[in-house]
Amino acid sequence: MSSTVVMSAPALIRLSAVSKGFLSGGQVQPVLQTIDLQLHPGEVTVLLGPSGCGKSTLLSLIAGLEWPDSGTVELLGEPFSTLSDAQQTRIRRRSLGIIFQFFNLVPTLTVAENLHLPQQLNGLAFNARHIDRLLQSLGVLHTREHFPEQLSGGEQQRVAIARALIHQPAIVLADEPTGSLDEASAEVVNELLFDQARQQGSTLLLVTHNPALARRADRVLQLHQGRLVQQGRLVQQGRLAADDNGAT
Amino acid sequence: MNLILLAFVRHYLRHPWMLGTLLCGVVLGVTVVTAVELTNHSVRANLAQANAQLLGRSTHRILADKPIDEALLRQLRTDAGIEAEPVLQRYLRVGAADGPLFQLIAADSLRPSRAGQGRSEVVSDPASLITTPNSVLIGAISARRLGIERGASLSVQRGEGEVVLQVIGVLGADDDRRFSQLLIMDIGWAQRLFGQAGQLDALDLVLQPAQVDRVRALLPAGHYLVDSQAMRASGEGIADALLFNLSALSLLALLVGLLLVYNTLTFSLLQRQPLFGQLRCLGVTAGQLYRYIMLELLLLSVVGCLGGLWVGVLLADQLLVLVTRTVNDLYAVSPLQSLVLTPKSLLLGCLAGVGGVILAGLLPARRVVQGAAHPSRLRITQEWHARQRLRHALWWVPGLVLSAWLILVWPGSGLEAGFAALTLLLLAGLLVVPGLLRLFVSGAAGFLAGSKRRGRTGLLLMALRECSRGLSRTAIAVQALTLAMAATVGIALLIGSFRLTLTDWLQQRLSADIYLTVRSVVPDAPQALPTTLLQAAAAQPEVQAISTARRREAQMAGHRFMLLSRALPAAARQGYRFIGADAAAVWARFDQPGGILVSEPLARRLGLQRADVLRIDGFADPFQVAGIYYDYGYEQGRAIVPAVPPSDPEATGPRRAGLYLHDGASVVALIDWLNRQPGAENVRVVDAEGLLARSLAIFERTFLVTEVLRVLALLVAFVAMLSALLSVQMERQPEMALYRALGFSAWERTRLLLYQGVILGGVCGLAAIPMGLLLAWGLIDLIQLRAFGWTLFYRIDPLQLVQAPFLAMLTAFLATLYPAWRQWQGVPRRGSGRLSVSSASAAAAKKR
Repeated sequence: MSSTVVMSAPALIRLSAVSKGFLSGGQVQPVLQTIDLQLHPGEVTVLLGPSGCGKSTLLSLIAGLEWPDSGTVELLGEPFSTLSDAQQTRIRRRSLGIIFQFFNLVPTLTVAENLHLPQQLNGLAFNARHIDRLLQSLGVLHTREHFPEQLSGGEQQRVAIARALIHQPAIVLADEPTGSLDEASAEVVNELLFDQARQQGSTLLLVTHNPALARRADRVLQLHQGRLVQQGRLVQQGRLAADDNGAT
Repeated sequence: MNLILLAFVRHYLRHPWMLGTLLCGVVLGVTVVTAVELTNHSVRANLAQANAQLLGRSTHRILADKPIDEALLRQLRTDAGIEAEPVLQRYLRVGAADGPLFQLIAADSLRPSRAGQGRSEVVSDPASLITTPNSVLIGAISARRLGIERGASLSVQRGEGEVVLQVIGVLGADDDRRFSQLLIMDIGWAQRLFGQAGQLDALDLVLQPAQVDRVRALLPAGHYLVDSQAMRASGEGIADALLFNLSALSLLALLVGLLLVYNTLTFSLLQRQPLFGQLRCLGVTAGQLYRYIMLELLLLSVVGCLGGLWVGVLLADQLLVLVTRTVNDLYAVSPLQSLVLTPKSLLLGCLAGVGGVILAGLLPARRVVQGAAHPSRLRITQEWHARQRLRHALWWVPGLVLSAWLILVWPGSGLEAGFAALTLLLLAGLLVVPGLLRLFVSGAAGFLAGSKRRGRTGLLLMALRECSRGLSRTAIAVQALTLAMAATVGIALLIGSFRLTLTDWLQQRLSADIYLTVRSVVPDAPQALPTTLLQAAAAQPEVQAISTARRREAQMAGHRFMLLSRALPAAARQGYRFIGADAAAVWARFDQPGGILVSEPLARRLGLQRADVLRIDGFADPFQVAGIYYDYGYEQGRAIVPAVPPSDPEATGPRRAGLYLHDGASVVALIDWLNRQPGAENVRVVDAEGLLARSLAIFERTFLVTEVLRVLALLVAFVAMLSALLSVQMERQPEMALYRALGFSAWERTRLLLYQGVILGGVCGLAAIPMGLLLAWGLIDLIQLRAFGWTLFYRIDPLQLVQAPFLAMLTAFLATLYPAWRQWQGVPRRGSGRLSVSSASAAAAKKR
């Protein structure tokens, strides 16, 4: 496992008794219930769970795209869930990289322009060498001037990874980035995602259905019906060793 | 380059139809507003200019019941030391009988005075005007238009014949509009040209307040002094109600245009919601995103405005011809016909466009910015929210209706209040329309679903359900089409009712067989019908009776109106209908001393009722209202007193007369005889049928402008429907791919779209019927009554009502043709959906 994991360092992401529900048919349907979670710098974590268990919602709460009904979300030591939208956005811009399953790229910008966008938002000059190096490392340099629609699904996701990492964020959140890809492509994309995150020392939280990915993670979380039923390290296939900070 | 802006620009370049629709909505809205504003401003400016040229800068004017003797001018100037200027003005057509109308102003070249400033001051070379017979100066703009220079001959129509004038100079700079369509001639030559040697139309004076009574004392019998300022104000404001009506109609077209913009913008923004979500994830704040969207709207509206201004100016040029002719027809005033481009008018068009687009975009922009932070939200959630919004909108309906009612019953509420109330009622109606659509399609779908023939009507069932499902995208288009259709129905009913009322009124009022009128285009010119001609006509054996009318401006309670002195034989009296009174009783009171008839517009303006006692300025004795008669001729109001009322100090000779012939008498022969009588060259003799035909032709011309605006509103609605259906089709492309995969033929998929269009159109058309009736009621009972004081009698033509759904279905059908054709062609979509991304990627991979 990675040597960059510093468990003793203060948590980059801290969720305390977070609950969230959505209104459906006039009634609130709970999606997440009293979630407690800490993620540390450089830690690579995989979040497993069946469809509809609240994985994407958990990611959205961490990214500040949704607000918890109760509990608190802290990011980089800041009480993220209580910050204003503008403050949240500034943190997101600087310290977060997000990858979704679909529609990751701006369709009306070329690959290079898509990668430059986070740089521009952070007030950085166009760094062609950095962009090219990253694209090269992900094997998609040839797509540099292409528009997203001209890329295959695998290429699109590789570019999405590159864009999520281009500004070297402290945290990378990935929501089933290979969900729409075939097995071979998914394997390549996941490999790259893990490698790049580790190379950059980013904290990675990856949501997936695929238990096989858990082997590459520092930690594995399992969500079931809105509750974090297990969190720990994978000691052997299908078995988790409980964390010191305890499973919920 | 800012990448977010670049992404926005490329979005529109990739969706040119969307860009085109948006710009089309803005362009059409701005076009109509600019055109009407420019036209209205030009008509007002031209009326003011015509007034300035007619009245100079005088404070008072002397008019008389016959041409004024020049001796009075000399007397005022030399004996009383008054600044006075002779007035002799005529309108002439240059070239052919239908050539451009010019105002010929006679100037006192030898002795210009302050009273004539604006006229005689321009004569820089008086000697040549005096020495050259029939010499004129012409405005530079007109000279350039006609292609004539100094020394050229100018042929003009005068009465029945043609006269050649000598152009000896050009007035003003090349762009000086003051002299547009103006000819200036020395007064001596003008008097000879018009056969008025030693005679004048009027005298303009510059008087100090203390001099007014002294001048009155000097005036011979039959001469009277009027306040030029009041005449100016009256002349310039004469067409206010007409122009206000046009402005209101243009705002209706703008409203339809903005609905279109709102619809397209909403779709354009919703389509990019995933993009906005991405940007938010990348660290774009909500405020930044909002500002980018506003910048986009600003750029779009500016481009649209520029286009709209350009087309608006072109349209205004055409509308001005129609409106000027209408003003001329309705008010017997001939304003000049030059388009006046002012920054204010253009700015107003820009403000309407930019402000309208920003306003139309505020709500959808706020919605997508808020929604952008929630990329996980699905389309079904959007639809649910859209349905919720439509449902909540219904709560506004009672409030809107109540507000409209309160505005209407508010004491003293006027024309603007009428428009405000009508707008609120239409808004209330529009809010109900999507609900009606849902109700209709749910009912129809339920019926079909339970039908035994379900298998054969599967496509129709799917189309019905899609109409309901896609309301978030089509609701605004449905409202725009309904509004445009309602406008079509409402205006058609208004015109039909107006035509019926006017025809009925004219047929009753034009009860004489032959009419004689003074041939004059100058209002208040002191011509009267030759007494000898009237006496000779009365002596003819065919003539049973003669009615006469003379008119003058009068004032009562600060309101100027037209006072008619009429000799009305029994036959003429049959043409009058009174509001809420028995005709016999009205006439009995009229024939008694102090009896007066008041027209409906005058009664409404002054709040008069039968038996009220009136005091008219300048009359010693009061009058009592004998009756209030329906009248559609003069919106400022008229009153009728018996011919030669004993207390009228300013009685003038009759200007009009109607001849009632015995049965079997030849109208043609008598007209021929009248035209051959001495003095008949200044009299227009027409038969009643000709007058009726001319009046109805004027009526048709009056409503031509309204028709143009109605067609424009319809055009905007068509684009709105096209845009909405295109939006739906573009979004349904993945769904269509599924149908294709399931085995639906191209024709079946096309039918699905066509059914949907026709259903939407049909429901819009049906909803437009009650809304059209509401609009017609508003236009007839709220607007026309308040603007003109005219009671119109309803004429509801069932054919016009039935036309609405068919027209709406046709519009919707035509708007569906392109999406249907695209479906037939199977044009692949470049876009953002899941299927499309993968299919495009697959296509790209295949290419590689």
